[in-house]
Amino acid sequence: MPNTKELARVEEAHKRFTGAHALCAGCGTPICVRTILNAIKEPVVVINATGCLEVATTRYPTTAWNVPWIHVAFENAAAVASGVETAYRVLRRRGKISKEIRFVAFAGDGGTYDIGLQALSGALERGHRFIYVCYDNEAYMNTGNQRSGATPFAAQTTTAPTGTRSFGKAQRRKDLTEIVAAHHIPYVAQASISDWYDLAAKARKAASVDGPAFLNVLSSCPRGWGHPSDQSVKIARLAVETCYWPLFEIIEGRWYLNYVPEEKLPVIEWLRPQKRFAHLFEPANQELLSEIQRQVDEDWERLLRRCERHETL
Amino acid sequence: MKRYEQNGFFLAIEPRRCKGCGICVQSCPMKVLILNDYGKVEVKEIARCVFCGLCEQRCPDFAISVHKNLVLRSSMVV
Ligand code: SF4
Ligand code: SF4
Repeated sequence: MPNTKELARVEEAHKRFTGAHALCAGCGTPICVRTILNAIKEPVVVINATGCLEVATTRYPTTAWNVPWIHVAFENAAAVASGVETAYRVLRRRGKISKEIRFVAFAGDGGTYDIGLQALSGALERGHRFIYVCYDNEAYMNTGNQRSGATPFAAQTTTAPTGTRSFGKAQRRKDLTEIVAAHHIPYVAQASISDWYDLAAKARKAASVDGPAFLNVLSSCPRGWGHPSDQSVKIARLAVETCYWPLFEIIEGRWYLNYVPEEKLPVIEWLRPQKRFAHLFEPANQELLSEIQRQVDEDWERLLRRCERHETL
Repeated sequence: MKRYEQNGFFLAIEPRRCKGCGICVQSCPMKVLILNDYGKVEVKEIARCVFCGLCEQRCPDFAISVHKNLVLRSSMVV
């Protein structure tokens, strides 16, 4: 099982991802990336979709990556990963490579929930052996906070503003983890940057399965969510404690809940510190708050019914 | 780079990498760290540190790290 010292040892041995990148202060994404890359023991190749992570870590002529790294376009991280993995398999068959290599694709929620969904679906269905990580910051943050399929109900974005006729995004976010699980791949998990132990253990499991693996990681964005940068980890934790973002995994089609909070916090605890939800606390929007709580409860109940084993970390 | 030593361990801080987000200050279970007037992380009281490594694990910018036996791991050399 992973511990911080072990993760530090892998970091020391491989130095896969380094600092001095230009991601905002307090961004959750590098926490997600470093935890995952340090948890995987085998050599890795990283495939990156367009997004904050890609633009801010590869400012010419510098790079924050010390691994083979490829970026092609916004929509095709999974297709690129398929190609790289297939080439690797062929070279292995011909005896030109003997190393075990893991392929890790990183994409934001825009590049996964929306733009990259068909490439992802295709790659999952073809069964390539790779790990797809969605760092989910719930909007197109790289271009300044436009709504995506991952943006939660009633959140304010620049393309779903608040005003007299609008209260932010009017639709619910789609449940991508469930969509991916419907592909019958060996490993699917939902994790959060706040629970590094859980995330590292999941990354390790994802690396060990023979086939596609998918991780959906909630990754706070101080710029877009509108919270102080030092609260990033805490807000990601509140999402877990309020059951807005449950930690669970689906292994060979069986659902397991990884964490059940001792006391399920009301969802306003998670909403209140974030400016994108500030309008919900006006008296006129009372019923939106209860609607969000209702949605969270509904999803949580459904998850509880679905999961075979409930475990506390 | 600044070093803060205690009992064969030390905490290394690279202020040039620190963006002052304060995640380490919030994450530290022992309240060892503070942000200084320049908005950079600083050690307030090294004696309280238990070298759990949480601050290192969570730093988005690789600016803080924990080292054993007073040997600096090469990944921290800028
Ligand atoms: S905009 Fe958000 S996701 Fe992008 S680098 Fe800044 S904090 Fe991170
Ligand atoms: S190693 Fe642990 S106790 Fe020491 S400063 Fe970092 S978080 Fe605090």
